[in-house]
Order: sequence, then structure tokens, then C-alpha cells
Amino acid sequence: MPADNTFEEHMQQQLDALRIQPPASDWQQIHAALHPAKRRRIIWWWLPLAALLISGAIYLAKEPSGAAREGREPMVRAMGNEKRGNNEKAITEKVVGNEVTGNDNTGNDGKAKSEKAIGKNEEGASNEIMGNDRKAITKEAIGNNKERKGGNQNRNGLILKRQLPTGQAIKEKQPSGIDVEANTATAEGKKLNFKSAFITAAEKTTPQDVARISSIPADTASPKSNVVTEQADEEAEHRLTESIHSTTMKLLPESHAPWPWVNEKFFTPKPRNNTPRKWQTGWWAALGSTRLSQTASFFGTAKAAADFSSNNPGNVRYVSSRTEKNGQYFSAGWVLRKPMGKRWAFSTGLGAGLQSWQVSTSVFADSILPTGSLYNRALTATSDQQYRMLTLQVPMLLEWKLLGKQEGIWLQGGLNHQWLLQLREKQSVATLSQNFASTSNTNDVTSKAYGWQPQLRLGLVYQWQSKRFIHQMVPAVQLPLRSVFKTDNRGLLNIQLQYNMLWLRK
Amino acid sequence: MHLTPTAQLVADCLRNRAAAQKQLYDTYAPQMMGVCYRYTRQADEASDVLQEGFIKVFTNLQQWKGDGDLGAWIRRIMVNTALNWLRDRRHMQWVQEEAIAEDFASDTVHTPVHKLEARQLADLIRQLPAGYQTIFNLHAIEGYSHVEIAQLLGISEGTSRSQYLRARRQLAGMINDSITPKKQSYASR
Repeated sequence: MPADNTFEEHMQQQLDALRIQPPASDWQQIHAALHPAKRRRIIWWWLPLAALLISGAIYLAKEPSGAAREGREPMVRAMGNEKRGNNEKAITEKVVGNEVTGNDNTGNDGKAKSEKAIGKNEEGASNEIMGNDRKAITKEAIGNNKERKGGNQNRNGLILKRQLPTGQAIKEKQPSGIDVEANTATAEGKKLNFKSAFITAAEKTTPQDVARISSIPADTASPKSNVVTEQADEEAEHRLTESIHSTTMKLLPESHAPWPWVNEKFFTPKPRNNTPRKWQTGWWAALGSTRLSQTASFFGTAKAAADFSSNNPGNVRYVSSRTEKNGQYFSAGWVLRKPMGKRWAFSTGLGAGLQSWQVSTSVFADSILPTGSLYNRALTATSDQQYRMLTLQVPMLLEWKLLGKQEGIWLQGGLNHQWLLQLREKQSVATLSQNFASTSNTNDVTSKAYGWQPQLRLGLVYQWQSKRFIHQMVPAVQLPLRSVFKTDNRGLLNIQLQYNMLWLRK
Repeated sequence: MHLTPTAQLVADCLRNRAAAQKQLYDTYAPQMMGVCYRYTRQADEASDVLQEGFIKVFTNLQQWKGDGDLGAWIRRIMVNTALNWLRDRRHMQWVQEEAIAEDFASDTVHTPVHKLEARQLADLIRQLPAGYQTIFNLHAIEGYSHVEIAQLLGISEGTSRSQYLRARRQLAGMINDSITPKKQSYASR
């Protein structure tokens, strides 16, 4: 080094402080190099998840409530339920048992009076009104009945106006919120205000009441008894119609509201037709155990298993021991099943699985005496490898019924194709020398091992049905038919318990 | 176990967390760009070396021992990356030379290095011939001995020494030249 060190010192001092901001594109390049597969990985992760979500959404959308399946019936019930809660008995008593009609109904309780009044109606009430047809009741309720003659029906007011036999008009306040202004048209004033009674009762009574009413013989009915309102107030009807509509919309399943085209296309209630050969769809989830196993190599294989043992010509022999521990297995997906005849069914689908397992390897150095017997054994290296794998699965299975009808036991067999999408390998290696001074290293390696591995699947299906679903519980074993590793002829063996839930199409 | 902020940052980088990698990059990139800048001639060349170096840093970060200076470790990787880059892309020919007398370099005693900015000095270094540039950087700035330089570049120690002294003399002349014209221009006004 020259005597003049100040030059170097100055240079070093100056240039050590040199800072140059690299362009932003540099980091983008570095990031792209460090995370090349990130986008692809996200896509692969989201594909099965998206499939699950879509099938779940369809399942939720497809599940029709009992009310929705039965058309307009819930509308009637809804109206009845909505208003029944207010003051049902009081209304019935008031209207049916009112003194205006001149019937000797006073003193009885409300419901009894109601029945009595109906029974004693000489003119009779129309069957329509009596609740034989619930739709008719609804029509009456919303004021569409064109047979009404005489009288005004004002459902928004609170005043019930009647004319007594003596000609005196009275007004009564209805606690139900429905008011009827009724003018009896008959001279003798004996006619009962049945229309008023029925309309109110129809809206206020329970389905049981309606049934009771409808049991009255039809010959007791007469159009003349239609003494209630005739010219309904248009505005009041309009409001009532809107009320019914809003109530109905609240009662309908929410999934039906935003997707009318889906409803029309897929979910319009159809006549029940229990044809057994329809495609059935649903989802599955399986939980179990996985491990490496020798493959049958039906579909070709990679190279033979690596031989971990070796014999040295000298007096030291290296022996390797390998331990494979079971890992976890989870898979879920969408299943599609087609019954074929009474005893057979074909099942397929699409799913994603996550499985992990562990392989431990130990290498020993054995000192061998000339006689061939072991003199000393020293552990030279240990290796723990933890694998984690994501698979895309397409099962293709046949089911054969052993026992039972709707509830029964099936034998299941076929191929489960799985595509290995990603392999994460966590490797922990410890190398021990003869004097036991050790070094260890842990690597977290993400290696891309993409491959196809068919598995032979054998299972026993226990199937039962609920109201809307076919349930299947399937203990199964999946044997590897092809290795997924090029250096090993081992594949993945799964033992699992799978649950299928299929929507029962009617 | 409590980790120092640097060790925590490295641990996060080892978990392949992009945010941590970006933070580490932002911390050391300007300094390392200065290093790469001295070994190359064009700005895009320096960027290439920086990118390659940081990819090596992130992929070999587990080799960093927590007790050392992370900046120094990254700098060493950058220097090695730059040397490999030079080896691959430039055909550097080393002429075996005898050792030069030490007083050969005495002309740098009064070189006004301090009168130039770091960036200007780096620009002057980049104007040296490739061999001079590399050896000057390694010896004067990075502090490598001639023995180490000889091993790194596969040359003799004498060659390293003589190349360095020539580089030093040439650089001193360039520094003087870069200052003198300014004086003349001021004088001429």
C-alpha cells in the first residue's frame, strides 16, 4: 500500500456516502422474480372456492320454502296471520253476534255465535265467501267481488254503520281496523249481515276457522244474503291491495326477489314427478388421513424408489431408515350424481383437497467387524420433510345398491382423478459428524410438482333421505395407481369419511 | 424470543412476505445502487446488477447470521454479483505486469478528492478502463487486499497491485483535470 493513504480514505469516505435512488421498475422486476407463481396460486385457490360458493348460492336459491311452493296460499295465510293477532275474537263477536240482525245470538261466545249465525242464515252465504276457496276469500278481501250490491265497504275507516230493524242507523267502532258501513237492504230487517261477518271473519280467522266455515252445506247459501257493501271504495281497495302485496313480498323467500329470471328458468315449481333417474347435485366434504404408499403402477410410473442404503467395501456400512407419518386430509367440492335404474348410480363432481404428511429419514454409519458383526453405530444425518399439497379432484364413481330402498347401503367404486397443484416442502436436515459436532439447517421450499394421480376408490355408502335432501355418509379408501414423484414410485393413499348432501329434486 | 428489528425484518422476508421484502429493499437499495453504479458504466447496467443482487439476497437470506451487519452482507453479495456480471458480459483482459515502485503513486498526495461530490467521483471511476475500475473499487473502496483481489479475479497479486496503482494515478489526473478547468474558467472571467 502506498504511503499516501489519505487519497483512499477520502475516496472511501466520499463513496461510502453515495446513495442513488434506483428506478421504481427495479423493485417491480425483483418482486416479479420473487413471486412468479403468486397470481397463478391465487387463481387455483379461488377456483374450488368459487365453485363451492356458487353451488352454495344455487342451493340456497333453490331451496323453496313451503309457502312459496304452494303459490298464493301464503298470501291468504299472511293476511289472516297479520290481522288475526289484533283482536280476532272481538271482531267475530261484534260482527256476527251483533244485535242488529235480530238473531237470538246474544249471550253466546263469539265463535259459537259465528257458527250459529252462519247456520241460521236463511238466505245463505255464497260458497265463495265461506272459504271453500281461499283465493276467493282473498278476492273478497281485496274487494274484487262484483256481486256486492248495496252498501259501502270502507276498510280504512273505523266506523261500522248498521241499520237496525227499527230503521235506526248505528255506528260501531271496529277494533280490528276494518270498518264496514252496511246498509241492510231488506225490508223486514231480519237479514243477517253475513257478508260483513264473513269478510271480517275471513280476514281475521285462522285457517281452522276457515275450514269450519267451509264445512257448512252449500244449500244454505244464497246470493240474496250478500247484503254487505256493493260499491267498494276504489281507494280503499287500492290501499288494501298494496298492503297485501307488501306483506306477500315480505313472506316470499328473499332469494326469489332479486333474480326473477333465475326463478322463472330454474325454480318455477313444477308438478311433482319423482322420476328416479334425474341428475342430482349437491356438495361433499371429506375428512381423513393421508400417507405415502407404494403404487400399483397401472398408469405408468416414474423411476424406481431410490435406494437409501449402500454398502461400502470397507468396514463401514451406511444404513438408512425411513419413517412416513400419516398426515391430514381434507377435501370438499361439488357432486353430481345420476341414478341409473333401481340399483346403479353414477357419481362425479369437482373438488379441492388439502393434504399433508411427513417423511423422516435417518442415516446410520455402522462399523462392522471382520466377522461381519456390528461393532458400533453412529447416527450421521437426520432429515424431516413436511409436505403440503393442494389437489384438484374429479371423482368418477359407480354405486351399486346392496340393501334398502330410499334408505340403504350402496357399494361405491371407481377412479378419483386428482391433479397435484402445489407442493410445499419444509425440510429440516441435521448432519452429525462422528465426533457429534452437528450442523442443522431448515429450508422452506416451495417446489412445483404438477402431476396427475389417479386413485382407485372403494367405499361403502350409507344413504338416507330427509324432506329435501339425500344424505350420504361414505367411509372410503383411495389407493394410488400412479406415483406423483419422479424419484419415487409412491403415491398418496387416503382413508376418509365423506359426507354428501344432494338436493332432492321433485 | 425477542428479535431485533433487523432480525424480525429478515424473518419476515424468509416467510416470503412481500411487504417485508419491500421494506428491506427500500432500506438498502440506494446504498447498493451506489455500489453497483461504481462497477458499471451505464445506468441500466447498474439496475441489472442491483436486481440480480437483490434476488440473490432474498433467496439466500437464510444464510445471513443474525449477529452480523446485514448491510455489509448485502454489500458483499452486490460486489460479487457485480464481479460475476462483469465477468460474463465484459471480456476483461489482464495484462501481467511487474510490481511498480510505490513512489509511482506519490502524485496523488495533493489530489483534492474532497472538492468533488460522491456522484462526481463515481462518474470518474466509471470512466476508468474496466480492469482499473474493478480493481480500484475492490481495493480502495471495498478494502480488499491484493491477495484477495487476485483470488477473486484469478490474477496474480502483482498484476492487481500494478493495475491499482495505474488506476490510482489515472484517477488522480482525472480529478485534477475536473477541478482545474473550473479554476481557469473562473480566472478567465
